[in-house]
Amino acid sequence: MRSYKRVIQGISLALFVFLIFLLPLKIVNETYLRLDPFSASITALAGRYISFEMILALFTILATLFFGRIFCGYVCPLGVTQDLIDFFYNKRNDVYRRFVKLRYIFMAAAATSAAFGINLGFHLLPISIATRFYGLVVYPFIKVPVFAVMAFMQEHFGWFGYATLHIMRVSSIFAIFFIIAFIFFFSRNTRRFWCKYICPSGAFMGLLSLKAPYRRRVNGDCTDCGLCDRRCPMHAVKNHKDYAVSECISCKECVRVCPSKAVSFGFTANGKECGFSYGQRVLSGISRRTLLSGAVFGASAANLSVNELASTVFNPTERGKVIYAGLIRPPAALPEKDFLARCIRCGECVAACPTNGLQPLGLEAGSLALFSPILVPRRGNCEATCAVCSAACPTRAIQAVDLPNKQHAKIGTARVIKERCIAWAEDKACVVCQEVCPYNALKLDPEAGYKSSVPKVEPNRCFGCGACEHSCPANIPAVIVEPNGELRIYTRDYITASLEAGLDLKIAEKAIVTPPVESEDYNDENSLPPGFL
Amino acid sequence: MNRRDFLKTSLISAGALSIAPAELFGADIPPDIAVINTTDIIKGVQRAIELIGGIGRFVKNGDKVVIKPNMSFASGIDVAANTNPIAVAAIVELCRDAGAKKISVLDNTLSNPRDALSYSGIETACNKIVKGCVSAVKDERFFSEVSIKGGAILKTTKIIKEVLEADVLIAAPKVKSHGGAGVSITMKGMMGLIYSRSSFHISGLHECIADLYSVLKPAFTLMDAIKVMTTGGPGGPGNVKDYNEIIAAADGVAGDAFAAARYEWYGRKVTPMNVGYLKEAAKRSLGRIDIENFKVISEKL
Repeated sequence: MRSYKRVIQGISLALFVFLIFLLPLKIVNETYLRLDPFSASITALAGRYISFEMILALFTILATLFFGRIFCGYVCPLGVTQDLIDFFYNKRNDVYRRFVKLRYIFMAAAATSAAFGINLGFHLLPISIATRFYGLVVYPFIKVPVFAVMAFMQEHFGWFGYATLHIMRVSSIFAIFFIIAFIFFFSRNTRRFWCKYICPSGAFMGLLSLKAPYRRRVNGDCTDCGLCDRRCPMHAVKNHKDYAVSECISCKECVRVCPSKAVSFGFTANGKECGFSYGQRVLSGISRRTLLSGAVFGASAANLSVNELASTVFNPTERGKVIYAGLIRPPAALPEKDFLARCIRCGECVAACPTNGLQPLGLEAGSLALFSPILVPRRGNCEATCAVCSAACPTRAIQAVDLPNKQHAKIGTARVIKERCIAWAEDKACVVCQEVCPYNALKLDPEAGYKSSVPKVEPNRCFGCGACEHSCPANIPAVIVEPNGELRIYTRDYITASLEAGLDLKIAEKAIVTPPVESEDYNDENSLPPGFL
Repeated sequence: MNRRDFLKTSLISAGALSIAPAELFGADIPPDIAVINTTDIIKGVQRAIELIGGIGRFVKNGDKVVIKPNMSFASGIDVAANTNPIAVAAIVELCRDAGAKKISVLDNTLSNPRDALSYSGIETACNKIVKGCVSAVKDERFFSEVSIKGGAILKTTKIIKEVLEADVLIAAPKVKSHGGAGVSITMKGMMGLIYSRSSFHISGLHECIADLYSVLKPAFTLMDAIKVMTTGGPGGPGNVKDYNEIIAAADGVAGDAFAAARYEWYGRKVTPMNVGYLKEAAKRSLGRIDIENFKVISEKL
């Protein structure tokens, strides 16, 4: 019995991790992220949108309505992680019981802030935390020893040829890890700490489960030993027979520990069944006051977060916006307010980015933008032939676009900093930025007074992919991408939008098609073509 | 260091030995340059190499061979930024038939390796001859530090280990314009075999190319002038002209000098003296740039 629960949990976590690890191969499956009904609800509420993909959450809702919180007990990857953490500890002296209301407060807070159009729930969404942890901490972590072993084999046995592994670097990796460390720390006193006291999704599903017909029952063999009371990891069992339905995750620990085999789970037949007692349904922690205080908390937090200097949400006037210079969003990201409302900070796009250019933001753009993805071109440019982040996004904060549209979804504009550029400042022959630009937006032009030609950006041709910034040979890049001229729209027709914006983004021509026209503009007898002396 | 020195010396002396007999005793001395005008690329490559002494002059039975094409860019044949894949495959085939023990086609690509190898077509074409011979080499651990004696600027650089250990290095460059270096052919192409080329631009491109060439001298160069990118190089897009020419030369500097002067860049003729690194190479006797004294054989197939 115990083993079958563990097997299901094991399979669930393995599948979850496996799907995350497949992301860089551009195989995307965000099913898990769409299964959590609470993330779906608050995202829909904050982003004011509804989509067919949310039907997956509906499955969980239906399952919860009939079977109670089986998602928490068997599927949730963070729940499995919590069980794994509990494996390390033996303590049963729960000193946190008075915090039992906390998760309802968090739930109400997340829902209220979402109602104001500000998504603060991401801090505590279990599915986001699990994805962030496995995708941005565990995955980069295990790549290092795998790389080391592979390098050893290549060095000493000549295996694997020139195969390589891209070592992932993640900004704020310790901040991401912190929440797991936090759970780990508090788990020393009780089991399922996260699920009992923090998880807003669990609270939400607890409410859904209140009328579930699948119930715990105790028959006459019960000797009132009280073992089930003490061993229930969720503190759901009260006085042997009574139990808080909203707490129970159907883990069946009580069934296993019962010495007289008196406990079982099953459907109620007309509320009664011969020889069984269903006890009292108990409400635990939830009250009108709890929800109200949560709502006040959520509203205040939402309010406070727009008071931050770098906050980009809620700008009644045009002037006075302080935009973080590195705020280069992934291509096809929605306009900033809606992007932040929808983004649940799961980090799937970051884990999926093959160049490692996408990074979770720290506090540079305000706490509201914490862990949201930005492109750091110096680390990795946005590959013209890739649109995996748009496919990976479970909430469509990054819109689902095909490759041609993605190639028109301008994310910023490159700028040459002449004081730092070795061609401009020192008249040295450097062509790297022009060489790597997939959009042909960098021109090397002869310049009066220069022996070498110098790079100039044509803004309407520049996508902002950052290939130039990524490859600039100067230690501090002399060509940088800034979030100017980015195309942030609500439709997915970026091709039309880019034309309307007067852009001339052409990637395909460089990649595969013959370049056009003769233009021989070096007829001046006194000057030589670029590069010649 | 001892092994590396040994390998380097043996590589150079092997090259020297293979050249010496022809120079000393050959009644029929191979030309400095062989130019084949053809649309049959495989035959053209075979004939060009045959004219400069045949593959047997450079590749011996059991040799380890490294071929360095241009496959840096994620672009196709028509852009003319990479070497023609059929030409590269033809060289691989010649080496295989000459009894080479191991053949590797290597480049430290500029675009991401997956795209560069697939768009260029070189991986597909060469896999048909020797499976798995094409690799993009980017990780520092595959490179080994080499000191450059007499380097004007470049005193040390990191070169792909396999290249240092190889018996024969063959250059298979594209002939194309280059915004920084003027033209990019054999000598400039050697920058694809080292780890960090960024410093070249900072410290002086032309001197560094010559410095590098003093330690990375290919046994011969087979230049792809089938389509020549005459403007907008190295990555393009630029004007691409169909010359349908395949040029072979045992001396890479001579080959570069010949090709630089043969085609028009931005509609203008240049001389080897207009190319900084060729001037530098001639000054240091790395090769000849006196194109007027070259023995050239041109054929049309």
